[in-house]
Amino acid sequence: MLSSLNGYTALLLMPMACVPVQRLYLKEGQRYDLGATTYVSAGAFVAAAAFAPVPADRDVAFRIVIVLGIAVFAIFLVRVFALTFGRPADFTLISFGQLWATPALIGYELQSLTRGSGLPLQSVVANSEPVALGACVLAASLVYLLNQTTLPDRLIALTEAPEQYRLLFGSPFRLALRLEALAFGVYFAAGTLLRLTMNDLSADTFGTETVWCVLAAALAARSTQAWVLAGPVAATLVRFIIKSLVPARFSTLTVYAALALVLVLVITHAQEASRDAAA
Amino acid sequence: MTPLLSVSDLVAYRDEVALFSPTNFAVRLGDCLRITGRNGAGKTTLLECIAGLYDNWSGSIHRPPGKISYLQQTSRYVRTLPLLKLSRLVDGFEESHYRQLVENLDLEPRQNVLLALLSGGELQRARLLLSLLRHHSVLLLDEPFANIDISSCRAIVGELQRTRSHRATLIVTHPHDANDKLIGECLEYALSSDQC
Repeated sequence: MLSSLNGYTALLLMPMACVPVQRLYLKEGQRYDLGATTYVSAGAFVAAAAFAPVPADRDVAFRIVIVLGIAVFAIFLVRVFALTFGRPADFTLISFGQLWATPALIGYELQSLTRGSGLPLQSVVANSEPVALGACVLAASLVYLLNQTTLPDRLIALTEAPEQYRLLFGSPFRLALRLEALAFGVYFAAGTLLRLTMNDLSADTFGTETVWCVLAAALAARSTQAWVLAGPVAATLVRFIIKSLVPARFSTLTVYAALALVLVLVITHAQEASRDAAA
Repeated sequence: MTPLLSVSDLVAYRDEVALFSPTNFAVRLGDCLRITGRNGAGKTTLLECIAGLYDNWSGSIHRPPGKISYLQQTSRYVRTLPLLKLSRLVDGFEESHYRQLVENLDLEPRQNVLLALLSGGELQRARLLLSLLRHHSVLLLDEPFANIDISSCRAIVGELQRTRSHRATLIVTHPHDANDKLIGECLEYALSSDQC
């Protein structure tokens, strides 16, 4: 079945890889975290550079590493400090900015790299299905292992009562650092998998595909059991419909419009859920 | 015996206005100090200064080398986890200590219920349990008997009395709190704003 999906494999794979961390940040739909794109892009770039059959242009590669390093470090700090003060809701704004800016930035840089150095755009793994299946197993194991730790409860405690957390449960900064390191590790690995399974790393494709992957992950993280697949499948279907019906030159615009619409719906729903919970 | 906690000429400010006149006291191991004052006198702010949650103050506070545990009056607490899960997050959690406190505070049947679903008295006992569970040498209690019935009050006082010798306790209450007589022998300090 997976082989028939071909280029869509990544759309199923990426959300599964990201779900463990996404689930951690969610509780009753109150929080919405899409802050994965920078880390995913970093993973994809590092994998692309590492698997390059010919040496990449050093100047271009160095420039990309600097841009990527600064972006990853800045996002890491912002997210850690936002969580330290118990306000992951701020992630919505941060992530929204990331979602628009980072794929375009990294996509542009990747395109520069490929043009300047001859880095291949093709998939580096001939048979990506075993990689996808392996990633799903790993993601499921990670979800199980995370549920055995106190991390989910600690995150809930910190976001509900940051002052009480500081007084009773330990350092919020240390917890935020641990969580963010975990998020970085998982998303970075997801980016590496993306590179291993995607057949096209051109700026346009890479940018929009990353958006779909992250969106699918966000939906999947809100589901349980078999419904976890609903997000990836829905994202794949919507993507397929847009690509089939919308002329190519408008497809990226439509993708982002669809994404904005979903974001508005989810945020509105999250606010309602939050009000219901408060009531 | 050296004081565990001492406060000298402490004045807290809000909008550059002093909340209370210079405050001085010291407590030793086993002491219980009852701090009283009218509404708005700055009792909660005083505890926040000692706990390190409020910065706008002058004077000096010598805190103990061990930790301070603080039962806040605030309504901002974790609501969507049960007591058992929340307890396991406490710094220095010990299963045997938890079991003992759950039994003494009569919370055994309610330890798997979300905090949001507990009654006022149960919630106050649960919050006290969390404060007592943390290793500490000074315990700060901000109106621990507010809005709770006499049986919850007795359970709280009983637990505080049992372990009183292990710590210094500061309790903030109103001047004529009917439950105060339950606390037993306590030093008194009336927070005043006369000189402000």
